[in-house]
Amino acid sequence: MEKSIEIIWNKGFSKEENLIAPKIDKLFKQKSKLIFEKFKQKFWIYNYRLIPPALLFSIGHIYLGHILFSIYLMLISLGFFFFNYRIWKSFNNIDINLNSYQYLLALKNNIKKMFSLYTWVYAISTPVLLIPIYWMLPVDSTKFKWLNDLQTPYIILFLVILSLVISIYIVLAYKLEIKIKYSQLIKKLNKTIADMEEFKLELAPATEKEITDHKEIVLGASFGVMLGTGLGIFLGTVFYSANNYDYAMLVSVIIGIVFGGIIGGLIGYTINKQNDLKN
Amino acid sequence: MSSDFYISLILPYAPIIIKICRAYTNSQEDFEDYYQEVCLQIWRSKDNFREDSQWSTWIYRLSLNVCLTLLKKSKNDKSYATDYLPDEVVLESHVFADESLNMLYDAIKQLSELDRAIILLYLEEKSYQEIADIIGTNQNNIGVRIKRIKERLKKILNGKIN
Repeated sequence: MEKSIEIIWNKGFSKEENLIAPKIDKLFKQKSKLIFEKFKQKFWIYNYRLIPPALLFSIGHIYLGHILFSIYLMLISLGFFFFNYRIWKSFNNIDINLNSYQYLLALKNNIKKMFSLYTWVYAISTPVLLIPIYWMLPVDSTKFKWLNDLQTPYIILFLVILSLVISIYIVLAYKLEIKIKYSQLIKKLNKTIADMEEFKLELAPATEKEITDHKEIVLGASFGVMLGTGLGIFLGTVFYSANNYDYAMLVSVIIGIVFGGIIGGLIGYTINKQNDLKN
Repeated sequence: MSSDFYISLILPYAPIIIKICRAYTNSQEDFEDYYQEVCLQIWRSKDNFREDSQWSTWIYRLSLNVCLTLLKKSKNDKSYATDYLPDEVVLESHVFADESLNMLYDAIKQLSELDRAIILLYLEEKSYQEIADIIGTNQNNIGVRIKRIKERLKKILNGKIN
């Protein structure tokens, strides 16, 4: 005999197992996971977007005959790519066993740290990486004659000021980029955290593992590169005066950057490890 | 949201919310997400509740509004993904222990969003006046609409439920 829809409905929902409400904490866990995955996915996509313009730009400069500059550009892009990759990987350090509330708090904390780290990286690396370009690209056209005619210390001063101005613009652009790319996600994250706080969930004491703070390493490497560049320019000037060797400046600057960066980075890494131990 | 509020003012009406959320979702994940959003929205909007209607009626209205909003939002996001998935992956038809109820729900999901809302309220034994109040239409339209929906459901379910 055919049943009416009313009978099916009432009979079906008379059984309690058909009306089990989902547990709120479980729901939050799912939501937290979703926010986390979305963030990681976004970050990863943006990192990959670095490669095509860097490649095109480098190939373009190879075509124009600026081989050293192309290699330099590729190295910087690769450096940024792997730096981003490390940051991306470090997000996996957030303990999955935390409850949803702590998990989201740890994620929020890591995102905040990441933004501050990138601000530092852009602020410091921009002038450091821009200054050597002067010696890599031919700037002997009539347009830049006034610059080439200046004495080396004044050229450096000019480049430092110019790089600092560009650095300020890049930091401001990064702040704007954060707003455009991540504001929706961060709003959602904050909203979920606020909702959970309101739920007054019983929470275990916080035990989240935070991402390693790379600030000391970045600062160390940046200062190392800066000092190395300065030393390279100085040595290059001396060698050039002594031997009249055309590539003296370029070679000295590159050696200065590489060694300065490595030594500075290592010092930063040691400080970073010591700080970790203290904490 | 305090646990007191949830236990005393939402949990007794959880069956209503569950029934509505089930009608607008195709997976357990979506269902749980919708359920949570409805609970949170009830709590957030509790100050907007006016005494001129019953708490349960207000919950119905709010639940339907939240589900329709989420459905609209997810349609754009999911249309691409679901286009490439076989139906059995997208639809979780066997969410209830009762097979007839599963079939009825599958049939309800084939209705338009508004018709789903109307038939759910009808099956919950709401009066035409209450349904009209919740949906925002007049009582006469509801009677005619319910008749049509029932005929459509009968057609869809023809011979399937014994």
